[in-house]
Amino acid sequence: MELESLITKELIDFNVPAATKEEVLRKISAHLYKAGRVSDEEAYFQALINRENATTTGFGRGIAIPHAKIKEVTVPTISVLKLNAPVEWNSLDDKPVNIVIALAVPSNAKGTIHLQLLAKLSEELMEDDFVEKLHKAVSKDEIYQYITNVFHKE
Amino acid sequence: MNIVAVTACPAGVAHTYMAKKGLEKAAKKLGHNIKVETQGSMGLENEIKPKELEQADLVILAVDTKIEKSDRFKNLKVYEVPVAAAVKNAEKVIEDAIKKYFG
Repeated sequence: MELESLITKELIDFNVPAATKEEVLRKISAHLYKAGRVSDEEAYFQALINRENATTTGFGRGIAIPHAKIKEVTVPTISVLKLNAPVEWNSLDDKPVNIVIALAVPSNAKGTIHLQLLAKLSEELMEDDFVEKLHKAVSKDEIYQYITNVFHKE
Repeated sequence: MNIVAVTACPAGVAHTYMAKKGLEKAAKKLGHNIKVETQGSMGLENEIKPKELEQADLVILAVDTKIEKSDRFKNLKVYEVPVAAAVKNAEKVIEDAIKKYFG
């Protein structure tokens, strides 16, 4: 499987209107269902909510990474939304979120290349310059490029 | 100071690795050696070696879940925090751990 199948430009969206965290998660779930990445929209949504209720995925600097690892995920997926206005996310730094990077992982995924790539992306999100680039990005192409560049990084 | 650490979270997909990176960056900045083992969805990676354990002055556990091989750390100076603490401010985690055991 191509590494790039984890994220496609169709999985990136700009100027997404949403008033609440729940609304964002609803939109992501619907989008991944339509894209054929999850087999059960409601199950994915619930798993995202459960994860948020355990601890927030808003790690600070305006970015959240809601994620779920459940059997209803059919293809490992990264989806990126830039919101048209910041949304409250109970983030670690108490700041609202305007970039949402959603991860979907099949529950049977173990030791796969995809998990390694998600781990790499997670590590990269701790780098200020990477976060800055995501905030400054104005096109799907840019976001796609920045994220796939991480996959190819040694 | 020689530090060994373990990071782990329930899904093991994202925060485990963010916390690892956070601790590595913070240790470097503060001038400490650190080895961070991850116990995520890919199992146990970058495993702490016996020699590293032997030389460790301090053990930091940034974990939200029960970890494997925790008996390795008995009799050592262990400082445990939620994984989010190491994502949010790993420098503070290291400083607090040192403060607790070394004043």
